[in-house]
Amino acid sequence: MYGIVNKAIEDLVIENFGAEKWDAVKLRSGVDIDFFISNEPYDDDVTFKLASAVSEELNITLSEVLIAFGEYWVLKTGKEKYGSLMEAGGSNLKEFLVNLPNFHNRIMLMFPKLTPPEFKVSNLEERSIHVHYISKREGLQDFTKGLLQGLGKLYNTAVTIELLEDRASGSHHEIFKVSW
Amino acid sequence: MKYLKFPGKMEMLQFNSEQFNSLFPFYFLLNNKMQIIKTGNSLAKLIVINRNEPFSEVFAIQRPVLETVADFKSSVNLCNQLISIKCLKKENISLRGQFQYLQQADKILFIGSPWFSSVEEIKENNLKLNDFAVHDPVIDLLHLLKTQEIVTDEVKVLLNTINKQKSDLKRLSLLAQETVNGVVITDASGKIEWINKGFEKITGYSLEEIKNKTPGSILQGKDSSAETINYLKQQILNKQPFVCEIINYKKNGQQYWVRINGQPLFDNKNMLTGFFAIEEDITQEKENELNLQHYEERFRIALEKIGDNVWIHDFESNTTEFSKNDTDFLGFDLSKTKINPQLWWNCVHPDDKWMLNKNNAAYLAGEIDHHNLEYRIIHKTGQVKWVLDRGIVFEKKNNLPLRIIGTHTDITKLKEAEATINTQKQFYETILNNIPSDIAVFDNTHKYLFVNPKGIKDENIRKWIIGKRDEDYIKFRNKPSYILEGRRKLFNEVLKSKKIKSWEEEVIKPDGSREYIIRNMYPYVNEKGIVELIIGYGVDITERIKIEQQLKIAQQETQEAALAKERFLANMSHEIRTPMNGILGITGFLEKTHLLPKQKEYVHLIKESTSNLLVILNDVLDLEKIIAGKLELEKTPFNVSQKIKAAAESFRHKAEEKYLTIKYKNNLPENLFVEGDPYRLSQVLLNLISNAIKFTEKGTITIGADIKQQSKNTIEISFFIADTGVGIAKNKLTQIFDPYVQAKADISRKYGGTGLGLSICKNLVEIQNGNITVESKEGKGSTFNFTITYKKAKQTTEPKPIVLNFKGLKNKNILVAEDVEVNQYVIENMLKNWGCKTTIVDTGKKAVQAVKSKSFDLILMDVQMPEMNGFEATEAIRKLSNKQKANLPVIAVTANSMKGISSRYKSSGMNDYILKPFDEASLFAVMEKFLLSKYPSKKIGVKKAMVYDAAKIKALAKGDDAFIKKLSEIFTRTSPQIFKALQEAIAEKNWQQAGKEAHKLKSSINSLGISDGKKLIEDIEQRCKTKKQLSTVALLCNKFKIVLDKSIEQLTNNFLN
Repeated sequence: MYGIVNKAIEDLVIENFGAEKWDAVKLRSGVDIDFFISNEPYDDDVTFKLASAVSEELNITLSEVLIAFGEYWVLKTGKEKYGSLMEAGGSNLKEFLVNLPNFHNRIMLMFPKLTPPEFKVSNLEERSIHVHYISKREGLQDFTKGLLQGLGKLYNTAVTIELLEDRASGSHHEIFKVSW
Repeated sequence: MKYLKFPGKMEMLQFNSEQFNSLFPFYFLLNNKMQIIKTGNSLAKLIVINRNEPFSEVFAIQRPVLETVADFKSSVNLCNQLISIKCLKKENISLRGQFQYLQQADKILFIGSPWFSSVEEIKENNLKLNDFAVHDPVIDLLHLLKTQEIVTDEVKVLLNTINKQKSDLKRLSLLAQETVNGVVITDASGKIEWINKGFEKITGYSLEEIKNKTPGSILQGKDSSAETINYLKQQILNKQPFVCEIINYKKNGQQYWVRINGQPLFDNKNMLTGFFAIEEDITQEKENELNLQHYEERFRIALEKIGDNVWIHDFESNTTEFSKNDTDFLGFDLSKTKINPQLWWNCVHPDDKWMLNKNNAAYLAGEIDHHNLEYRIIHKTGQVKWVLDRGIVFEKKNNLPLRIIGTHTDITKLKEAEATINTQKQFYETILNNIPSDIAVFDNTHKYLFVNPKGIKDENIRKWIIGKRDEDYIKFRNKPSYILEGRRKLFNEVLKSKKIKSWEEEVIKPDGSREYIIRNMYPYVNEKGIVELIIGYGVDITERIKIEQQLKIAQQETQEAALAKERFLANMSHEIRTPMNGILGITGFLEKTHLLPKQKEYVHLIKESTSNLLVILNDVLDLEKIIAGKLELEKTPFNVSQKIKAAAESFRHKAEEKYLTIKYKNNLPENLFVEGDPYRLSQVLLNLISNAIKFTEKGTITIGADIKQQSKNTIEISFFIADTGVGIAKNKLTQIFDPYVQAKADISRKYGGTGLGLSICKNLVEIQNGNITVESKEGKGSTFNFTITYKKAKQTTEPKPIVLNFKGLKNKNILVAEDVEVNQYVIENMLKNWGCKTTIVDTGKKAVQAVKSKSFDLILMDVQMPEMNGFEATEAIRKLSNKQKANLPVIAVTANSMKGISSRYKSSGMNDYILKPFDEASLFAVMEKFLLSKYPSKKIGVKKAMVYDAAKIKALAKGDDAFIKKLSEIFTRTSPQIFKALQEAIAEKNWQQAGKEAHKLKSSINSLGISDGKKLIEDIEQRCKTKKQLSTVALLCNKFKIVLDKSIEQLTNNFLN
């Protein structure tokens, strides 16, 4: 993961629970990195350790941590740092989700060391869409769920996320049905 | 659908418009007129371009730079070059791309994309990601740019953080390096890795010398505490922090005290990496501590030596330690208090425990940091002792006292002394509070220190006044300011003089009554001679003043009564003596004629009766003189035996008449001369002998004298007269000497007499410092004893008995001024019998006239005469210009025998006097002095008595005659004017003014020493001022006028003429 992800976790914890809690999280995670550089790739393990430590430190499930982080990623990191880019992605949720595969593929090209997941969309309806999440990493689908929830909030649109398929159930990848 | 055809080398590719737009959404097509004839969808969204709008109006080629405006041909030449064109119709819009000449169509195709510098510009130009061809990397470039921007910001933050940390680290390093304390860092095994400069300085070792050695191995020595070393080792072994103080050794072997504060250092994995220790050189501190300990020890010993017990109380353990554990204080072993913390508390007197509880609570609440209490404890023996308990916090924990140190002092004796003082104070205060006088004590600034209830009744005011000044009280009480001024003046005088002062305060009370208070201020002078206190006390003398005033009035009335009595007696004497003079004189003449025996007896009886009458008269007058203290005793040498003998002999005839025997038992030497009054001795003897004869019908009268005792200069003589007469009843013996008392009521009738004789005797004896007693048995007789002490005198010649040698008086011219005819006759006859030539006048005026017209050798001047009395006549004669006449001897002939008469004669210029009635011998005796002797009558006449005091005036003038003259001139000029004003004021009853005028006169009368006038004018002033006894003021004024006139006359004659 690029530093920007870990940094987002750090910001999330500090913003909501304070620097001391972040120190505690870091101490708990065993991650001995004081400063994350956004475009610097870090081992995925770092991110997992941090997320797990947050979960333990705040006494919430990892799933909840990842969902919260996904939302935060969209609403804080994305909006604050790439606000214009996000907005250029679409005028509404649907448009953005339709553009999401292209948007994400561009990132892959821009960050050559990144092994980003691939997004696909299908079943485009008036008020729903299927978002396909194809990733080599395990256990980050909750993060994707958080991202999708965050996007709903970004476009001020009430959404329901439904996991249609996942790898744990034997599917090739996760399919989320986003309805609004 | 229209297809665009693009010729290729090998073949032509065809796209429809949608495909072309999808690939190149920002393209435009130029005709050879350089007009834009077609645009891509996204370009049209970005810039509004009209069909066939000239290129030059919409765009300008930025790169490559053209020398001229781009025309079609030159633009064709730009093919295959990177073209940057700027939009002229919209700011900040540039396109980046390339021209392609379409030869067949003769058109130029531009393919490119907008060139933005940030992602934000996409949004600003209302574009979306979809407006860009999917292959177009512009978005990705912008995304990268944004990421780069973010990263740059992050790096900046990181750099700032690093710089800050670097700076902090540098500062910390410097701190560690430069601190005066030693800093040492060891590895996990305790071997030195790094030391700072402070460490080098303290120990003298450099890092090179001690690296990889343990601090203990190089610094510790024989005096280093083994216990501390062990502690250090244990802590290091257990990876624990350590704090200790230990003696270390420097490189040069010198010892020093160090306080070590060490910490184990761990890495992230909690692995011990080493130790960090700060070592502080506390040698000085230790020395100070030691000094302090010594000092405290000395102090403690000193305190203990002076009887104090030093204690330390620990609040945490609630134990108290005492420096002296003996049993003096409580009777218990105080070392047990650690075991029994309540020992001391249990001994505290139950009534005083609250004090310690309160104190303790205040300490525990952190409200106090020291205390000073006095309370009672009960000794084991039951004796109550007083303790002075003082303490102070010397150790705190969490800002609250942990330990306090203090002393206990046995102040029982002090308290007992205090109690005694308090009892005494109470005793004195009780006295002061009950004394019926105002008592106040002031400090030397006139502030009240004490005032008793008599001074101020109201208790509240009494308390209020303490510390206030007297003026505060005067103001508070609205008392008149003169009282304040008076008191303050007195206060200052006392302060200055250091002597007691007194003054009288008259206070007019609201009801108009007056209150008189004598106030005194008594200074208390301390050892340094400074007035420390002033004790003021006031006594209400209103009653006394009232009594005094009443007494004064009574005294005045008594004096007036006495004066009236005196005047009456004088008049009576005069009125009796004047006719008696005639009777005696005529009887004397008659006796000398040829008489029948019966006639002789009658004449004798007349003489006898007259003499008796004279005795009575003299007795009465004598008694009055004695009572009034006006009897003057003579002091002349005389022979006592002769006086006794003469007295006895003078009665022999009378005794014989009654067939009584007179025995004379004189044991005194015949020639015993003493100094005293022979007349008064004779008077007593004659009186007693006369009584003895009077009251004895038969038997003997014994007269005697003896020496009772004597010294070198004095002699006390005892006289006695014993009779065998009727005696005196025992119950009358005590009254026998009282005036007007006789032993029996019928005595006067039977024996005659006034009852004054014995009283006069008693008084006469007593004024001669003697004593008279009587012993008597009724029917057996009486014995009167009296003693008189005399001063011994040398033997002198007794005056010879007057020999009536009238020869020397023959032909002397005598002027007789006498208004009573019978007396004129008596004197004239006497003088004629002596051969004198007489001129008789009946007024003073005629006397003066006679002197002027005729020559005389002597004048016999009656005092009371009509027109001009004897005094006035004499004064007139003395003023005559003929000095011989003016100096004629003038002898007053008077019937006034009262005291002061003789001085009055003399002051009028008379030479002598003779008292009526007189016999020939007396008259001869007084005349003989002036006519036959060499008596310097001239001088007497000149030495006229002055009413003023010449000596005083001379002393005042100090030899300056001009001064005396001036003084006299002023007095004679001004005093009549003032006197006139006085009389007018009296007439108008303006007493205040009269008092003032009298006062003016008083001072000048005083300065001239006019004693006769002084008393008069003082009386006038006093009466006018007090408005009392005003009825007699006019009379006093008249008397004063006489004195004033005389003084003016004398001053004028003597100093102004």
